[in-house]
Amino acid sequence: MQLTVERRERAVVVTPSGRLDQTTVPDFQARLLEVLDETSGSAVIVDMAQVEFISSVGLRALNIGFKKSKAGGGSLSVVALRPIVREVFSISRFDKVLAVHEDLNAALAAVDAT
Amino acid sequence: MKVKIWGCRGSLPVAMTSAAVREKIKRAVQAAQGRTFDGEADLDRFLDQDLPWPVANTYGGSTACIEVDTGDADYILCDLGSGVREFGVRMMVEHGPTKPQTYHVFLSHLHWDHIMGFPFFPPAFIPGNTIRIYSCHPDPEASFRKQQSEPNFPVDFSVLGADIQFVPMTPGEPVSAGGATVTAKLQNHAGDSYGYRFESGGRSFVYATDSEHKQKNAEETQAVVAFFKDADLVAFDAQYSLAEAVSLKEDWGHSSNVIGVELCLEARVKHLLMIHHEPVLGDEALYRILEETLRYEELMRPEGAAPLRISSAFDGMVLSLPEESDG
Ligand SMILES: [Zn+2]
Ligand SMILES: [Zn+2]
Repeated sequence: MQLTVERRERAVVVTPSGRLDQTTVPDFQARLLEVLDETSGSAVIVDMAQVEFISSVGLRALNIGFKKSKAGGGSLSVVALRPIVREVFSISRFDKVLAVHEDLNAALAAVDAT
Repeated sequence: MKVKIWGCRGSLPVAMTSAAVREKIKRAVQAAQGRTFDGEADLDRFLDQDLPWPVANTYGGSTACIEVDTGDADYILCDLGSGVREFGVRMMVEHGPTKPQTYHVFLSHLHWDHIMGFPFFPPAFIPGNTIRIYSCHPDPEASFRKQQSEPNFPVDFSVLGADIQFVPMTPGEPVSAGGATVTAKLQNHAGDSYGYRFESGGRSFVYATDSEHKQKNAEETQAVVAFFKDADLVAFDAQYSLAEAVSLKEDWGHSSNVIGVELCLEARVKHLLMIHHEPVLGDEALYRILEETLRYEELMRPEGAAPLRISSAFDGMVLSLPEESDG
């Protein structure tokens, strides 16, 4: 699992890649929470375009990040789900809990609108 | 070994509404347009093959009660939810009031949906019957006496004619009952709950209801995997979606289909049976969840691994281990 962080003008974009499952999630979660600590109160967008698969532990990590960003007065949204990842979001109903956008532009537009 | 579902619902009994019945009839009549039927067998074929399952069937609304049939003369039950009423009526038809029977009941916990059927269990009123209630909780008898006393219920517990014995059990220490070896395991639930693993004739069934799997600690998860290991059938509390279980309904003590699939795949379980259905969900919604769960299993299954069979419990379902379901 690789993860890059890019600070934009109105949002921080976190881009993980590979699978988000039992073996990779502890690392992903630690890095995500680190980013949230450093950028508390800002809008964080997780770009999922490079994520091939996500299981329950990955969804939990996103949810922990979501709660943390909210508590810090910021936001966390998820963008660019691949079809299989989108399916897992739908099966687990995470598409109803997390803010999911089609792509980065849509998420940035949503940040601008708030 | 056979496993019979007498109550598949969680939390609260429910009944199908008139509106839901009419909806099913409309869809069935539409599907039957232009067709003729040659007798009842042909009609049954139409229901089974041409209609979607939730149009021709219903999951039912009785709360937690599952029978484990090992072929022994004694009976084994998991929990005494409202589904045990129907089971008791069946016992009266089969044995009448004069032939004494022995019932071994394994209680997951004392929440009302798991004991509410007992005041309506006719065999409990009949002298000569023996009912052994196994529980890992400290004083289960108090809950039964409280439920069956004024002003909660008009017929006091003391009136029951059967020999009712409360048998303390300790997790990890197997007991023999009704032709099975039964082992309990502590589960994560408000006030604690216990899962039971039944072994008989080389087959194994795990009853794991009212259990939240928080995945916070690998040791805890591995203990569950070990408890499920290689089981022929695991009845698993899948009341909530994963999103509900980790957000709005965190710490409400239930689990999800997604976690059920992951644990059963890891434990190499053969058949996952989803139970403790959310009372607000209708037949269409529950069936959709079953289809989604099958898909998730397909996505999660390691390459080369045998597929995990998945079913959603309905009242009246009978599963023969390891043969195909006849329900
Ligand atoms: Zn329950
Ligand atoms: Zn409970």
